[in-house]
Amino acid sequence: MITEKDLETAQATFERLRSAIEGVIVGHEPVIEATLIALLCRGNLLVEGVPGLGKTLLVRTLASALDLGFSRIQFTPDLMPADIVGTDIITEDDGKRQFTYSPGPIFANVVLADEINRATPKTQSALLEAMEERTVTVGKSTYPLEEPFIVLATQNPIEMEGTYPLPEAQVDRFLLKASVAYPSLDELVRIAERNTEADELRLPDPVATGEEILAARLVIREIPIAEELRRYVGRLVLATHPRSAHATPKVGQFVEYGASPRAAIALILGAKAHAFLAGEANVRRVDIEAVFHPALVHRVILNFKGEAEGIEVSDLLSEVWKEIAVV
Amino acid sequence: MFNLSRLLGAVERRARRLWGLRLAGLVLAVASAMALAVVAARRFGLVTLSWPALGGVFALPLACALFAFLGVRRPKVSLPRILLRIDQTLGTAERLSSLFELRQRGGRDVFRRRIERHFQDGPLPWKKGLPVGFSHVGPLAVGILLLIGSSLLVAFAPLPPAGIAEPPSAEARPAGEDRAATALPEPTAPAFPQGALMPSTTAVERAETPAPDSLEDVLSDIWGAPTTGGSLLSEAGAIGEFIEEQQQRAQALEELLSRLEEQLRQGQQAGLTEDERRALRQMLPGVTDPQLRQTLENLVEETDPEALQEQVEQALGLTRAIVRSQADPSAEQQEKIRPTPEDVKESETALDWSPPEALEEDATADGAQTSRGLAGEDGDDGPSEQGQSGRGEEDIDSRGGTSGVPGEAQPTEQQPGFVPTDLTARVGSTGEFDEFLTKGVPLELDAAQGEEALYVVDYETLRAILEGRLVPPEKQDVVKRYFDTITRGGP
Repeated sequence: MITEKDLETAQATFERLRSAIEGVIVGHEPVIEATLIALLCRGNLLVEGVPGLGKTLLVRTLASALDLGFSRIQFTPDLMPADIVGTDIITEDDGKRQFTYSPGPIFANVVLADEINRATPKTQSALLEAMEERTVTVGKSTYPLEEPFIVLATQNPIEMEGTYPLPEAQVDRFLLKASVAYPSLDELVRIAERNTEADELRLPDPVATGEEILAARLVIREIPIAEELRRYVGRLVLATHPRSAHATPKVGQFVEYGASPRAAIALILGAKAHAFLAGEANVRRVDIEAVFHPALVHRVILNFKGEAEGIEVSDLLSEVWKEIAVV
Repeated sequence: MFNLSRLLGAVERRARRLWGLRLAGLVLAVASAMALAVVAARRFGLVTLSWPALGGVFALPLACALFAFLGVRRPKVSLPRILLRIDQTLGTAERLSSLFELRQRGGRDVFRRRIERHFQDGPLPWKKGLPVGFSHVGPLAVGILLLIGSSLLVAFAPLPPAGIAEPPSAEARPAGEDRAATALPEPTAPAFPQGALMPSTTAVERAETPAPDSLEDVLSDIWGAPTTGGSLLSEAGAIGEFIEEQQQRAQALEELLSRLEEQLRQGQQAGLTEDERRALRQMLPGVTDPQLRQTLENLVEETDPEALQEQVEQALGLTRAIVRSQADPSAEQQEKIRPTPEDVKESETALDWSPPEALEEDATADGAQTSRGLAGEDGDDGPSEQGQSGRGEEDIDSRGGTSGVPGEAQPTEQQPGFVPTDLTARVGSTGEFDEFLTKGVPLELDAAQGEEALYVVDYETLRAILEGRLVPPEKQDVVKRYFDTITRGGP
């Protein structure tokens, strides 16, 4: 049973966390929001953007603001799965040699998978189990990951040379996908100021513990959402399916695969987290709208015609949002 | 204090009312369109409706709409959907919908209190989210407009014959009826050959079926009702009531005049009292006989006792003649009340009593063939004549109220709304009935013999009977057409 105090505590925790991140990161409010939502929803976040926009800094800042374990994995083409999940090594103890499991960097609370699409699909897939089941299996042994656990992956959309697009199964495991945009003039001036006048960029001190995060996760699941809004979310998701009765004409023409049921879960959970972060006690349509693009943009797969004609999934989603009525 | 349960109840009631309103509107629109169609059909003479039926045409859409609004079971209201619509309209950030969700699932008081805090400021204008829109009142408005249109059509259109109580004028009759009245149709009723008995109803119907203006059409003109068997019988009661009413009026007048005559003869009073004059004046509108009416008008104004007594006696004589003719319109009495040649001439200017030309031609050409055919079916077979005669009697009995063995002038049992009459018959050399005819019917055999024989209408007798029975002039033409239809017309 959630009490008023639980609710206030959780909201205060995330207010502190947001302030800590915004003290380091200039602008990028949607990405910060998406990061906090992913953290609240027990999800993973895929951050996409060109180099130098502060993706890695954002994740580092979040990890610093949380009193949690952090690890960073730089994905490269020669990275192997064992480099992520760990492996069994031979150890000698009192003259006896035995295999001992050496955990990889995945065993942390906040994992930064930097430039995840630079690794081979085999290595990328090493994250699948950890992201979904929160466990790691090596050999015949399965090791649970400590909660809270979140994978924050970055990928560079323009560096296609030497990159491997993430398989659909992998992409689907990211709760949200946030695109990091170029900063505005004012933001750019403030970034320059922070990085040129101080000795070095100072990351924030921890402002939240793992327990507080877990408590907040329980709170947001209790936030009510109207039945008709849930049906609305269902219609929105079905509208991305080309063979659905709800599909828009463009979806039917240019989409190969629509969003999975995970998208509907991501939409509702994300909307709850968005309402929580906004200080609301219930899910509103604007909350759904706020997470609609981040939750669906990486789950809709264009067909050949869509790819050939340069159709943007974001445009299709905008059309779906306009077409599908809430009542 | 915000009360969600009360709000939900009010929302549900309003939603149901709006649903009922929309259904009632649709029902009213459809029913009114049908009413308009009926009224239009009546306007163009396709159907005839009495005033009560016309009232029903107007009342039925309203009754159906009322039933749809009050009586039809409403479907279950989708409160989540309605609440979300209210939220969208009021911009309440889906709080009402979320409150309903919390209420459905129970618990989570923290969120409920927080949400309800937003509604503490004042009453929520939730009705804006459930407005009475065009979809609710549109059909209703259309239905009402259609009903108004129907009313106007009735108000500004002439009325077709609507039963005995309100006979229409000849000018007011729709075009279709005028056509039927002026241009007589092809003769359809069979002539009854010499030696053949009156055909059974079946035979008459068979002969009449292809005719555009059948006997039942004419009967419907008389009774102002659709030509269905059941309604014919029911309308027969109406015409019987009319005749009975006329009889009662004549009898009342006779009683009054008898009393006056008695008083004058005994010298109890020198003149009429004001009450007696008033009573006579009140009876005047019901008197259709011109001679009697004139006498009564003179009587009311008369002050000289001797002249008064003479006029009372004269009026009493005329009234008694009318009463007798109504009770038993035999040929002798018909002869007594038969109008003078001047009256006939005057009346013929208003009503064409001459036989239709088409009938005349037909009687000389096709008529013989028709009658032969019928004679072959109904008249030539000697032994079967009796049986067919019997059937004919049954049919006559059902329509005219006569019964009994043909040939015997026996008293007949009065049927409701019918005038008792006797049958006249002639027994042939073989001992069978050669012919029979309801006594007093204005029909007679023409000069032809055998198979060529035809029944024709004696128009003078017919008119005398009608006038004697105080049938209004505008109805006389209809009766004349009736006899034209069942026979070959006049001589």
